[in-house]
Amino acid sequence: MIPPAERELESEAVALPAASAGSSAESPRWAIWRYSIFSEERVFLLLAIVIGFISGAAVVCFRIAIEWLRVVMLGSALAPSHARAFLSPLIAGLIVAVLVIHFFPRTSGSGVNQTKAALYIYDGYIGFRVAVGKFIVSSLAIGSGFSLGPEDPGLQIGATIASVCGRSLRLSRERLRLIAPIGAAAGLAAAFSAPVSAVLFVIEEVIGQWSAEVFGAIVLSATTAAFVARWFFGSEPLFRIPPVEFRGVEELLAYAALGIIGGLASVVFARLIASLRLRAKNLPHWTRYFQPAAAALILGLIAWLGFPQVMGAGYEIIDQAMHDRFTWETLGILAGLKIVATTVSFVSGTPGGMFAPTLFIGAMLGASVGGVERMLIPHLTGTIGTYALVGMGVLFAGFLRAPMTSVFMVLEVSGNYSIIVPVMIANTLSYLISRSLQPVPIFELLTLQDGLELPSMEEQREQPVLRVEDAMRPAKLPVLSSSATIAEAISVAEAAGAEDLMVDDRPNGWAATTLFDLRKSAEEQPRTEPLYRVLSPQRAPHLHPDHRLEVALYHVKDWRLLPVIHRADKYKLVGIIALEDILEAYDRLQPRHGE
Amino acid sequence: MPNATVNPHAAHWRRRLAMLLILGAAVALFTATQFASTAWINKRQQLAQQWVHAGDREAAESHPQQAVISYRNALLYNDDSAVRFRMSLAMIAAGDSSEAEAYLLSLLSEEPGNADYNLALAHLSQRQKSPSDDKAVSYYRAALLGHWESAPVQHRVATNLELARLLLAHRAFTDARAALLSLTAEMPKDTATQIEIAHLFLQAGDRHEAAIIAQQVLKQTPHNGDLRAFYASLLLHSGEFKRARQEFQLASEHTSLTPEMQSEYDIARSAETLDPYARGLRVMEQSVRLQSILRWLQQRLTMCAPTSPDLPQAQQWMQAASVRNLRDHPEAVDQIVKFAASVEQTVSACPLRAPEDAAIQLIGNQQ
Repeated sequence: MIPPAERELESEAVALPAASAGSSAESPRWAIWRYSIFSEERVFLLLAIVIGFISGAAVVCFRIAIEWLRVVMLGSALAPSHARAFLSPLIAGLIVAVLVIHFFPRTSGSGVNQTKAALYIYDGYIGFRVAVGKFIVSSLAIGSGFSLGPEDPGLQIGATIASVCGRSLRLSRERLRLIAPIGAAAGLAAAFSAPVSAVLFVIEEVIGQWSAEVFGAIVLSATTAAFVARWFFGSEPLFRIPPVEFRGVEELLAYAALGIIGGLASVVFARLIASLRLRAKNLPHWTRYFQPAAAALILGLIAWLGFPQVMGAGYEIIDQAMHDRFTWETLGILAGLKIVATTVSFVSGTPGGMFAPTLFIGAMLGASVGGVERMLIPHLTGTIGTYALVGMGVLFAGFLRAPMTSVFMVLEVSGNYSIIVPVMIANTLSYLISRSLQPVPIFELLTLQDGLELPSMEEQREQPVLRVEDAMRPAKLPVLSSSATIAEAISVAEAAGAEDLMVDDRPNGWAATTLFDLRKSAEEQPRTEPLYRVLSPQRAPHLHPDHRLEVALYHVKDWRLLPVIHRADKYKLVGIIALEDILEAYDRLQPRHGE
Repeated sequence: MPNATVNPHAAHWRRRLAMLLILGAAVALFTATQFASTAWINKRQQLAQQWVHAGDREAAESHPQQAVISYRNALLYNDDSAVRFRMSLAMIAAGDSSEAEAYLLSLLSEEPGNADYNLALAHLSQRQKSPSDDKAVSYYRAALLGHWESAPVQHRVATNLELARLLLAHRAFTDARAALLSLTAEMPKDTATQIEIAHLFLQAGDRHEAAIIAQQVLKQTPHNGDLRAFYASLLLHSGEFKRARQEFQLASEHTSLTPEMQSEYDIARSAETLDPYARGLRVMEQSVRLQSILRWLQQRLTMCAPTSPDLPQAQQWMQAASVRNLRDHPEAVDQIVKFAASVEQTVSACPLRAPEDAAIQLIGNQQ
């Protein structure tokens, strides 16, 4: 249903066609250059830039559409009137439901999982309609006041554009799979104006691995998209706070407390979404026409109660909170209400992102906790803005479970590097608490609810890595110099009762032989012949104790026994490894998997 | 399809064509984005202006809270530092100091040399009555060293004056005098300000500078009776009794003297007649003046402290004030004046203090 039928060029290896010689004036060198320019490897990198450019422009349009719709639907004032706060999301909710059910069924949700699904299930395929639908429906929803953000839809728009471009260029399946994350990074970078965070998020949450080619392409697309976004929106940081100074250990303890509270709040938020979404999914189908409208009514009620700040993405409210606008009580209420507003908006199936609401909740919570701490310990130097900023990172790490991205995101959106220490401490605590109380991350929970089994990046990160040192055994077998004779080698092996011998053939390396082979050689050649004459000219590839076990597995098919040598002294044998050692190590790991 | 059936040449052309189409689409999208962005920016500017005007109007009509709301709305569309600054000022006016401070601090972190931000923070610190006024003083100093958007000299003078007033209020006289001295380098032409500076110099204990400024201002406004009386007072306390009396006389021609001025005028007249240090006096005249002082002291002691040992001593000093003695011992002038001043100090609490008493004390201070 999804992947394109045409795969005839899938493994196309840009061979020089004989036909090129048809143009008699063309030199072979020119022909090579002409064709290598369009080789898939180069096209891939060039395409990354083009994808960044197109995604950047598309996301800029998307952001403009959201802002314009906001003005049209909620008015130009920060706080909409009661009528607008009730009616705009309500009407938009009804339209959104119809659009999602009948025209753009794949646009529901945030977009991160859909991009992962494109990578792991659909060979990089995302239909163009998804981008169109996401653009229209998300901008309508966010612009009308649904408590969702533009980042994840931006990510999906970028991924879709990349997928369309990749298919147009008939890239190989391997590259087509990777093209969606490249577009995703571009979309996120443009939506967030934060290229580093976008790159890290895609690697941390979508791909889960680093490789030079993919990393290069992602960086190129993200920076190009961020450049385009800044071209149109300017390069000012999203939030501005004064530099932070630390005067004592109590400052860091205050941020650590914020990390703990943020971790707990992340768990509450994630569990609320997971449980309510499941219930909403299990409701009769016809209710899906009214679920967004029901969410809109709740939003309108919250606004009517005097908290219209929870509507929309809420970046301007974060800015106000950072500048000490609200009391700590109000901030706490706003954090709680935003959790409610975002949960109902998201579980209703309205397309929109979780990034902005997460940052909003984190900022309110951080500022609230900071307000209380400053009240209790008046000499704390951190401003409310600092706590709000750290709070954003805390929720990002705890709820979205992207610890690396959370740190860089805070630095990037504020342009303030003086805050790095508290951010690292608080984010780590939040991440660890969230991980221990909510073992399955929110994105994974959502995919499981959708009936998909995508690889968990967190699980991949946490998977134990087996190394050569875990499998090798001590080198108790005889070790001989290559200048020793066959007779000497046989007598040493027989005396030791060993079947295998390692031969130190300086300076060529190490060789392994067996008593059986030596006896055979002794029958064919004089017994006084030195070993280096009778051994095969190839030397055994050596391993180091810290090598991954997969490396040993790769070589062990050609060598029964592999030497493991010291990194500082290549003639020092620290152990040996054979296939049975490797298998035994994997066997030992097995029960731990099942735990 | 198997690879063997694919014509690589055609595949390359197809890839090139696809790439060209993608690039074309990119250019088209960028152009469309440019149009959309321009339209949106214009709309934003229009909305921002609308809200800023509303905020300005409300601030001018003394509705700072409404002004803050309008500026907040304006910030949605234009995150300009000027709007944020206006909003901060409106917040200060509305009494929302903590948020105003947060905004001002973030503005200051972007532009540490901005004098307006520093001055606003100085006002805020004074208003918040922070534990010490060091913060306010440091913001004032930063404002003085910073750059102003317009009329830098006028702003610097006004800021310096504010700083001097703050320092004087906290009895930091030396710092206040330093602030005022730096003001004299950019002396404003406005006479009212000049007069204020002279008064501040006086408060800071620098009569000399105060007198210089007052004299300069009097050259421009010779008919300013109050200023002339102030100048006369400065002269009186600087020991220039004759000139003080003359200036008081002139001042009385242009303004009706207040009781304080009149009192100082009387003191000046007495001091002029009693001052043994007046220029050009002969020994005989000095002797007469010293004897007048001693007679006045005797009367004062008889009235206020008849049993005081100073009374017979005053009689003894009377002999020392003779012409012959003064010729042989000119240092006796100082000794007699010192004695007189100490007696006046002793009996200062005694009622019915006459201008002569104050005059004698002032003469004593001249030593």
